[in-house]
Parts: sequence; structure tokens; C-alpha cells
Amino acid sequence: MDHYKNPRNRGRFEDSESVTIDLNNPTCGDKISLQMKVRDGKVQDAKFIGEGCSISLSSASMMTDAIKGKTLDEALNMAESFSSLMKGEHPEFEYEDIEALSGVSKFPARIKCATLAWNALRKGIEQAKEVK
Amino acid sequence: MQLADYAVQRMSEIEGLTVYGPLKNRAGLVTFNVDDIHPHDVATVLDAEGVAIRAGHHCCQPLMRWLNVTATARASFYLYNTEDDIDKLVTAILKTKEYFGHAIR
Repeated sequence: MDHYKNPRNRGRFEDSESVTIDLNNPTCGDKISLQMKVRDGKVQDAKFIGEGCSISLSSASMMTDAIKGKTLDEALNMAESFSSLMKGEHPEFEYEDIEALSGVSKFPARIKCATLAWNALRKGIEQAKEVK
Repeated sequence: MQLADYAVQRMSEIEGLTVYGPLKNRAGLVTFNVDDIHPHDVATVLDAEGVAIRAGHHCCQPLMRWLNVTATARASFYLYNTEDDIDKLVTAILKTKEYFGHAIR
């Protein structure tokens, strides 16, 4: 709830040294535009803008916070852990707030809200790896 | 139609609730939004309260753009619905506001 009320990392980078991924969920209209600054295989910084429900925005807020300073592979592992969290499993996260979203796995219709930001992250990692 | 009129009347009593479309002589459904709460969040809380509605674009994105909203919530009625169901809907919407009120104010 705090991440919904006060989303972290909301905004845009002024320069063009970042990877931008625009993703939307056509069934509900949620949108996210994620930007990542990747240097030496590490996520230096991340920001997002978007519109959507409490679950999608808080998930994006936590995700952008959690991946900062991580290598692309670490971030990808986190995305995998998040998928298993949505399947009702209990992976541990260094960034513990994320575990608050575990309850979403009980609402099949809402899992897509929580995973939107993470799917954007996966695409971003792919793009960043291609650039190298 | 009677049910829809009753629903509009009851729902109009809720602060921060917008009803879309004509206020009288509607078809058997009411499309609405609650201020600052995404319709999918409204639908999830209502579901937990035993009230089933639909939320989203309803396959008409141009209308959503025209209304200048990302999505809407929609309660629709059929032969088996009664005014009692609408009272339950109103109570559940108030609960939704209370639940999310902590987050948005």
C-alpha cells in the first residue's frame, strides 16, 4: 500500500543513455514505460511511468527499487523468483517488500497486474544484452 | 430497468462515485468509477464481498478514451437480481472506499 501511495522511482531520465521499454496490458489498460540505465552489465538506475491499479503500480515501484545495483543476471533471477511467487511458491527476496505481493497469487485475475513491470524488466534485460 | 434506476439512485448517494450515461431509463446495467480507485481494485474487493461485477475496457477502448478514463467498473442485472443485491453492492462499494481510503488519503 505504501508503494501505491508513494511510488518510488517514478519519472523519466533526461538523457538518452538508457533502455526504454513500453508495455501495456490490453485487457485492462494498464501501461508501463520502464527505463533502465545499464553500465558494465549492471543496472545503475531505473525509473518508470505508467498508469494502472494498486497492484501494478506498487509492483513496478518495488521492482525498480529492487534491481538497482544488480547485474542483469541477478535481475533476471529476481524476475524468475517473482514468477514463482505468483505461482504460490515462497521464494525469498533480498528486497523483502516484494513478498507482500504473494497474496496476489490467490487472485488469478490479478496476477497479470503484478507481473506487468517484471515482464517489462525481462524485455529490458534482453535489449540491454543485445546492445553490448 | 427498474433495478438500474434504483441502482443509480443508491449509487449516487456515494461520495466520489461517478455514474456514466443517462441517469434515468437506462438499460439493465450501471457503469461507474470510484474516485482514485482503479476499477480492477474495486472489482477485486467487491468479489471478496460476494458481489460480481465486470471491470476494464469492456472491449470499447474508443469510448474509454472519450470518457477520458483508463477503465470503468460495471454492474449488470438479470432476472434473478433484486433490490437487495443492489443494497449489497452499495455496502461493498463503501467497504472498498474504506479499504483504499487508507492508501489514498
